[in-house]
Amino acid sequence: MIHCPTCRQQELEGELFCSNCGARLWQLPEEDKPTLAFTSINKLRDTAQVLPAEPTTADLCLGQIALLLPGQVIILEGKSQYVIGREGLEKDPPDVNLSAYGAREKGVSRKHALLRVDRRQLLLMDLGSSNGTWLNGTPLTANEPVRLESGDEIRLGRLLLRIRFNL
Amino acid sequence: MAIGNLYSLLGISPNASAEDIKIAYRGAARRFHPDVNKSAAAAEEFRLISEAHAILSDPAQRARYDAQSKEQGGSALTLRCALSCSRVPVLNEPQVLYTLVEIRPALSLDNLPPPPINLAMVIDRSTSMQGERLNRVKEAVMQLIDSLRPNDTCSIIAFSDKAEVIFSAQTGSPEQKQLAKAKVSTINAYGGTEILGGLMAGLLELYPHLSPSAVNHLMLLTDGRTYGDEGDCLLLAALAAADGISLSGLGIGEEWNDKFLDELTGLTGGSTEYIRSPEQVYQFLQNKVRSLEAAFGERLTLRVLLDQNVQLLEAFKISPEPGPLETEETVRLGSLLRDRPLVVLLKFKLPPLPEGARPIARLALYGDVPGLGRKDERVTYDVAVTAVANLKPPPPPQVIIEALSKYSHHKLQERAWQQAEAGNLAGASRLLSMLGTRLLASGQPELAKVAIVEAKRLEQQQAVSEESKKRIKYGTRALLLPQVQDLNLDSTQP
Repeated sequence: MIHCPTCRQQELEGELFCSNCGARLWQLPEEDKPTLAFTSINKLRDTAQVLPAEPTTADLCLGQIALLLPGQVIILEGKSQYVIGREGLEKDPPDVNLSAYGAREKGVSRKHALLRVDRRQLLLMDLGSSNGTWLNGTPLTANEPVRLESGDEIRLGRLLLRIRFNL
Repeated sequence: MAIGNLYSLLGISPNASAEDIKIAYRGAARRFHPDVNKSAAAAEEFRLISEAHAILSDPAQRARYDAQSKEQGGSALTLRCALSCSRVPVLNEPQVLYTLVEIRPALSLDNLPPPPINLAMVIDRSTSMQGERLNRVKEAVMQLIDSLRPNDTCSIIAFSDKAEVIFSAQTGSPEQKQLAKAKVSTINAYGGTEILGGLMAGLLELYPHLSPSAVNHLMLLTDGRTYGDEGDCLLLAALAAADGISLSGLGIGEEWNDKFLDELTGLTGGSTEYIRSPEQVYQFLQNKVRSLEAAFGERLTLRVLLDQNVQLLEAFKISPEPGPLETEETVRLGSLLRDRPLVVLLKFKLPPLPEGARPIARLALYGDVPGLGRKDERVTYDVAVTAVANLKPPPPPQVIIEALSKYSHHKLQERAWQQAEAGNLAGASRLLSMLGTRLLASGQPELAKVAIVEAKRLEQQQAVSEESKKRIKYGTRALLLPQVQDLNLDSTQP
């Protein structure tokens, strides 16, 4: 059993909103924790849903965003925006840390770009990175969000990735 | 083929090895074997699984099946789920799991002609409809007759204490339309409200034209309560649903019985809407007919096969028309529109879970796609979680949070009316003022005001206002629908 922090109403474990006062019952994520990024596709979700190496939009659950890197898939879910970049000296990694994928060598900035979920659209914005962001071969203007389509190709500096999502 | 994809029946992908198939069969059989799972649906599922295994475990038959399904293409429907939590904590007490189910057409729909409509309009003509209400309804119905296409079929029934077929079911040639409109204009108001008679007359008009390639629908428009025949009405609705007819309700004003109409239409996968003032009748009728024309899938049902010791606590349709669903094994979902997903929220109660992966329920979606000539399409989805020791549950996905926060508003007001009905007006008033606060916080000042005013009124006058009740009930329901902008976006996307 869990108790509502506002009105002490008892609810079953796993309940999300208090039935008596409507208060939120789940814990907000702690800020410094990395997002849910499952780096191995076989560890994704549960045994009933093993994604293929190159998931299509139909393989994704509602609310999931997949970043497709060579041989790797990063699944994002649960947040309304994600900063993409690499680890810096001050050890303050962004939400999506691409250090393990040669980000530094390929000219990815520490805070390179932002993905934002707005209603059911996904927006991409360059955060004034040193080496720029390209969408399907077109360079983006810094701090101007553009709308993404599932399957778009994104280039951060010289790091190429593809994005798929089901929002 | 009525059993859908054989691989999905076993919960495996089409490139599974012979060994995978064997293991998956054992697992699936363990879940649905009649010794383990006593429900009739599970017995049926077990039979299907055994059939699938018999084919897939024989290399020659499997190859034939693969070739055949390649030719037919995939299912015309897709079903996806988001769980409140796919990794759950190991607990020695029960816990709740929410699942948001999203159903969409799987195909591009550009070349698909809209299905013909077989419609019965059943109109309340009781004395209380007299004046502006009936006049507006008559106008709206006449305009609706004009907008019907040549291959649509329509009948009009007016009812009070007894039902009268104003216009018998016919297809819409211009002369017939003129005649129908002339007859509608003669409807006058008298008598009480007896829904059973109207319902029966409407169904009798629908049956001769019943077609699996059409949208068979009965629209009930009423402003009053029916007494004593509710049980028979529900029975009739259930029979109609089994024959592929859906019902929708439009309640005008404050006096009609929302609980009864919700139940009646919900049985068939349809829903009920609240019309506050007579000027809105036209808009509601037009929207309803447009949505019938936009139907892609018909007679959708979701079979929820629960794994051991799992309970289905609640089922609620969020889109396209919000409303409660039954928590039976077979949940009727009505029609799937081409431009909007059908979204259902399920709430499961899980037993105490030991560590490890565990299936929770199998969702088997059935439906017809008349435009493609497909019947009994089936899509299978297994809801499963992994229980992990010492896990602090991660925050739920955004889509679940959004749906649940709005759903919790709706639930708060349901609880308030329950309390009021049980005589606890102070409790009801407290819940409504809580709701008011929550609605304010989520940017709904108008509805918040209605809730807060009603909370105060309840305290002072010790009686529920039917108008506020319906405004709050159908208002919180409407909030569940995705933003209007979203819908526009979806329909303009290539």
